[in-house]
Amino acid sequence: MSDGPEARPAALPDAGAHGDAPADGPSAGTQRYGPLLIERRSKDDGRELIFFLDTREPG
Amino acid sequence: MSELRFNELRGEEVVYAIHRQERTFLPTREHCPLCPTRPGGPPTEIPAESFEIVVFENRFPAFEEPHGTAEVVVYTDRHEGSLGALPPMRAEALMWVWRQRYEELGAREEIDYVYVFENRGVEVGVTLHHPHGQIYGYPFLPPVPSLELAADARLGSCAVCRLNADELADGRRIIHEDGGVLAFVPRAARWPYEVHVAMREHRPSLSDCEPAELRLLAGTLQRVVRGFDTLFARPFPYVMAVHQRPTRSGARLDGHLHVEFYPPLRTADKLKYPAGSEQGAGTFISDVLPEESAEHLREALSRAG
Repeated sequence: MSDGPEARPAALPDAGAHGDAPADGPSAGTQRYGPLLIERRSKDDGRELIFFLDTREPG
Repeated sequence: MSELRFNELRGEEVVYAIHRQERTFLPTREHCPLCPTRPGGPPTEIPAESFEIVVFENRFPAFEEPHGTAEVVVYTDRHEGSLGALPPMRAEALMWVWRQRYEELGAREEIDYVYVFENRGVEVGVTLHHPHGQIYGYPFLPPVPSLELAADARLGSCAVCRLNADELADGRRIIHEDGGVLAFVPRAARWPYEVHVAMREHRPSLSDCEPAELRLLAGTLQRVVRGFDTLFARPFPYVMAVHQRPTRSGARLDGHLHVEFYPPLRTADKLKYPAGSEQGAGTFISDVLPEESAEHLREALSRAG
């Protein structure tokens, strides 16, 4: 059994001005891949950190 | 930096990643490095209060650029749970994440093989309980995909296609079947409850799958994991290995996307140890016939829903 729907972040976390993808496509700093919106960041030690957000509506 | 040494007797590479001795080992929930960073709480690997799926380079990598890569894939910001318990849409999104990483890492010149996997349970060496998997980008072709290529050559065509057809014709070891994906205990399983999940059509990698097939694959993987957990009414440890076409540059190597589960349990509280025959001679000796395992698992999948 699924443990039920998870609370979804409204946008990519802490993404600031470019976190909310407009309806006509992702803004700078993000890219689309299939149903996913991708945002890449660098950690303090230089390692890459990639956030994947599902753009589909639940259900 | 890891060091590779070639083991001449085995004909295989061994990786020395001695910095991994210092990696985080079974931290308390409060100090889980894969949880979100909460306001006022300790910083974790993920500087966000919530997230869906996150991938990052392993802090204690087995492989590092420019000699491969090692990534962590965090399935959810919830500390508890499993692949089987994710909401179905999240599991489907995970297939897309695996596919994106396969394509991006596989495009790198030095990476010959992209390997997505999950270790679940302390019985297989898990050091962090938060639901997650890993991706290694190998700078060489490892032994297992090499053996699969050798099987294709020996059989004169795709070995997974052939085995799918054999399993469907026999039928006794099938535990789940739908239009695009097949799950079965293989005829010559090495582990008591080994399960293979294979695409019905010849799909070399996730990149060759239709979106509907990714959805079916996610659903089948979740059903198998829930069935495992139901079998002995306990979280079922396993190694989950996603096998895809090698990405070695300049080579025309084939593959057939399939996922292999290697669970170490032979009963609810007894482990199958790879011991003398398995390690010293390379021959597995099993206490359970695959046809019997499949019967148990079919019943467990039915109860798990």
